[in-house]
Amino acid sequence: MTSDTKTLELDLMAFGPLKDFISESLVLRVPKGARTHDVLEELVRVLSGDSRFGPSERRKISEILAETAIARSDRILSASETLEESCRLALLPPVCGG
Amino acid sequence: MTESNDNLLSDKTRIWVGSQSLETTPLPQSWRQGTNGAVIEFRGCVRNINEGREVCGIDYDAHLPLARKALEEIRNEILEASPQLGDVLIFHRTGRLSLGETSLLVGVASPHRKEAFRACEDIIIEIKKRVPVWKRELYADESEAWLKGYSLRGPIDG
Repeated sequence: MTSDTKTLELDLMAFGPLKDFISESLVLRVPKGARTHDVLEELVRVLSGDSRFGPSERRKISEILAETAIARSDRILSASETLEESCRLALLPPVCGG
Repeated sequence: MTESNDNLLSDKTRIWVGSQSLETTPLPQSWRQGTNGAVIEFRGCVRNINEGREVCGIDYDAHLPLARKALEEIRNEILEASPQLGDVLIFHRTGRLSLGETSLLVGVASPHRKEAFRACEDIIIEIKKRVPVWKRELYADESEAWLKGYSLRGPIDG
């Protein structure tokens, strides 16, 4: 994983319904110090520009990501937590165990 | 991620998430000794109808490390809130399950039934809200859909 000093490379792993749109993992570049909330907004922007998805799929992606949490290793990050280094993150859409 | 790290169940296991079948998994024999006058075994099973649609199975996806951590936290909270409980176990399946298969096994041992039933219900409610597990229902007409759930996302501070 390489990045310059001002840009982070985030390796995003999708779970649940997000697997319909992100098959394995996706590398996203964000400025160093970006909040997890900013990561999700950037992800919406990137996926909205993906020609594989039509209007209804883009709407669905936005709806899911608006309620998605981000985890690093076995810890769920707060929406305002800042990222200072390149890392692997998990995208956790709304859960429904049981 | 859902198929790896499947550790085998033992009589001492209290928290488990994996793809191994739970159909013949018993509660610990040791629970039927000593002060436990109530032993509850709850099984969540795949049913054939949901919201009017004919279901033929469910695919369970999970973030294994976080799911195990969340179940451990739920178990600890219940035992702390109800110190009279004898013991608690929570096992959750992943992978593709057929109709009738056990997706969730919750066991509670207690001196009396009242706190055991209450603890079992509280555990299930918390599992649905907090554990990173996702269900994709498979329908008889060969369509499928991910079920809606609870967001784990916190507010943005500052």
